[in-house]
Amino acid sequence: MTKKKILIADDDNDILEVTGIILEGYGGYEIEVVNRGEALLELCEPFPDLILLDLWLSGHHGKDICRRLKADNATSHIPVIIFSANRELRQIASSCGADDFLAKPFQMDELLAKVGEWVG
Amino acid sequence: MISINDEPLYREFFNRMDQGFCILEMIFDEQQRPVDYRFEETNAAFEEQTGLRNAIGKTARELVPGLEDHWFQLYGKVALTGETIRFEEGSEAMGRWFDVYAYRLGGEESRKVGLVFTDITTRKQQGTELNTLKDQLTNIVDHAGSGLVLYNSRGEIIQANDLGALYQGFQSKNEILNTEIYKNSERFFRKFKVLEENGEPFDPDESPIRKVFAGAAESRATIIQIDRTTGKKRWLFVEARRIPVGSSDFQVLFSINDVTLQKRHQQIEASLLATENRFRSMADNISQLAWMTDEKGYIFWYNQRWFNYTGTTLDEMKGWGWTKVHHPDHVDRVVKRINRCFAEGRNWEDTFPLRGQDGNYRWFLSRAVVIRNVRGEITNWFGTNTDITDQLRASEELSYQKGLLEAQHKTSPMGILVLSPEREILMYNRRFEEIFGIEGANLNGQLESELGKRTNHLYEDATNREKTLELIYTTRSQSHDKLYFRDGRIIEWYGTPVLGEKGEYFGYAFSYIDVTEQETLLRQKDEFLGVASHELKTPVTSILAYTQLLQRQFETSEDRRTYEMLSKMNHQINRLTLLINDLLDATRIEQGKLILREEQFDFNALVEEVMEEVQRTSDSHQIISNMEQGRQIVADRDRIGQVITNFLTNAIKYSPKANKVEVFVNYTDRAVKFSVHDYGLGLSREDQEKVFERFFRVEGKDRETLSGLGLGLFISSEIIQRHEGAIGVESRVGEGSDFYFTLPLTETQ
Repeated sequence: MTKKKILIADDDNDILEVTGIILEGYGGYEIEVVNRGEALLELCEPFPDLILLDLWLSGHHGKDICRRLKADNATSHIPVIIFSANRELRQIASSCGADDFLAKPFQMDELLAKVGEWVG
Repeated sequence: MISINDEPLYREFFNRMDQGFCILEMIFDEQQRPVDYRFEETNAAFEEQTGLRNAIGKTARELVPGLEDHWFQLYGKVALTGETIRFEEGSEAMGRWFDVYAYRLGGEESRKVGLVFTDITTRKQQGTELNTLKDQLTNIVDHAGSGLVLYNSRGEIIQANDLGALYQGFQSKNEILNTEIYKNSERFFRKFKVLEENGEPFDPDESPIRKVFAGAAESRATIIQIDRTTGKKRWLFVEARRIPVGSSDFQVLFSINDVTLQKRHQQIEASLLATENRFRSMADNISQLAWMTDEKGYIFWYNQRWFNYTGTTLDEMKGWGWTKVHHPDHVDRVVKRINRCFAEGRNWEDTFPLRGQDGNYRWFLSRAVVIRNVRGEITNWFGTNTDITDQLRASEELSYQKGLLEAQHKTSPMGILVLSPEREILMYNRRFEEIFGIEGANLNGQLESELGKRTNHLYEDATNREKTLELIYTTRSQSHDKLYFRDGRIIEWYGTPVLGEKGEYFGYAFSYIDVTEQETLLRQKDEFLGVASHELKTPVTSILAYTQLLQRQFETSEDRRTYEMLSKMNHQINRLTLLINDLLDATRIEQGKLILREEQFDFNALVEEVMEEVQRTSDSHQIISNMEQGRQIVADRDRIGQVITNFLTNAIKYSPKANKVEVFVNYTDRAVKFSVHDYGLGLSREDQEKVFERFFRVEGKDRETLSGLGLGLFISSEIIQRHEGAIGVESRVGEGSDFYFTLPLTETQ
């Protein structure tokens, strides 16, 4: 069974790293990280099984990226979890068509549970 | 009756007596008219009494040619009728007056008449003179200005003049002569209504004439006599006087004087006096100082107030003495001006200070008016001085207030608009014109709707403005809101009803402040806080994740010490997260930007979820739940969860010596009640009131270690209130607290 691939998009490299370590080490996922918004817009096959998307990315706002992904038939099937420090995260997530959200700072168990919920 | 038959005896008697005696034989003509008489007998005194000699046998016509016919008539009548008469009669032919006693001698057939008579010429002559005098007196009496009536002692009128008759209601004296007093007086009171001088009804028994007849020597009265038929009214002064006649008889002289004119004069004088008294009393009592000059401007009278105010006397003041109480800076001008008015005969007006008796000056508005007589000549000036010090002060004050207001209007950074109760524009200032772009448009006096027409295009939502205005005019309450302009400006306004001191309603005053800049700053601050919290959370996210990662790695390690340190780090980082979130929430509440996202959910499930989460971080306390059958509610699930978390963490935090907290969930038809009971420190009544305030923290020696920002309950309170719920606490110090909130259950459930 191939590992599920998680794409993590965040402009903070430390968050990228630690999140990656947790998901890789304790979730057993294959991790891909990007720290620029543009990278997500150039997404191509093979698509990740889940995207963890920060809202504030250099170049593009996570909300817009999520909308674009969800508007594109090729990528609309990929679950998107918005993870952000914003207090209105729930509203933002639902307004841009995201599948779920995770507030920063997050609990490690919470992260693993949420991701597991979407990639099985 | 003496018998003539005893002739010798009586002849002797007749001859000896002083009086004249004679017997006549009357001579009649064919028609039985007496034409002459013949002397048949005379006595010794006859010649002396008559001056006739040798009369016996001769006729009267022989003896006295031209003897008056009335003698024959008188004696003829006696001879024919047998009547005895006594009369006084004069004869010019004889040049004598006689007092005559005439009688018939013998029976019916007899034509003989006996006369006993006395020559009374001397007496008569005196009597004529008396009569002349009497006539003259009568004349005088008749033409006297007084009504005069003379009564004899039996009350019969023996003399009167026409006026006397007139005043008693008769046409002439002849109507009353020989009538009786009481008949007259009855008639008098029938014809006239009679009043006392003072207007009281007059008692007829009090009439002077009756009183004098009743025994008084004299009596007088003034009466008002009103003719019952004509209504003519006059005042009469009546006087009755008893005049003794001889030793036992008397007459009563009654005089009547018409005093109507005098009375009228008296009345006029009295009314003039009253007028003058009234004037003086008025002049003394008017609130002004008052004075009067003669035609030259010499003041001869001041009212009492002048003296009271100045503390002077008339002697000091009269003439030009008044200049003494004038202010030296003004007196020259005042004198000059008033003199010009006196000289030109014009009314005068001036304003100047006058010194009061306390030495202080007060300001007076002074006026004098010219008083002229019927010929148009100046007789006086009447002057007044009205104290206007307070008015001047009030006017200064008013002027100052107006100036202040105007300055405020000109320089105020706020736009100001004042509307009448009828929504007319009473005024607005320059800044208002600038804000609303209506420079130059004079809208004063126009209706507010006109302003609306000119400015509606400015607003993003003009209808809201109309509704707000309608509402505050209905409620007359204070109000404030913001106007969002299409050009991006944000104008904050405050409206307040303008009320007088006694609560009179004068309309509405609005002030407008351009808060675009502040709003921008606020937005920037908000954005900053958002960014800041985000930026704070970003490293916290990494730290927390690394910590938990490390904690997980040491979970199975032998190094328990490191694991526990990492646990503490984890705990502290979570607290830090909560603090950052509270700070951000409080900021949002302050800005009114706490956004609720309402959804339907199972309330009990939320409570259980939060309890589980809190229980996970607390080993010290057991959370015991007592929940009724769960129901769905509509609310912001996250925010309500935040409140429940806050209640539970507080309950644990503030009951450090207890080992449990209890959760209760109860439902009614309309609401759900959530409460947490702890066995902790409890709150004083005072603290219970403040506990939901921002930054409130309970203080006390036992609580030093209990840290926090004091924002949790403030945020909870805001969240519950935004849900139209209620939040509260019941507590006793030392026994613990019950924090609770209720949320409405919507009807659709």
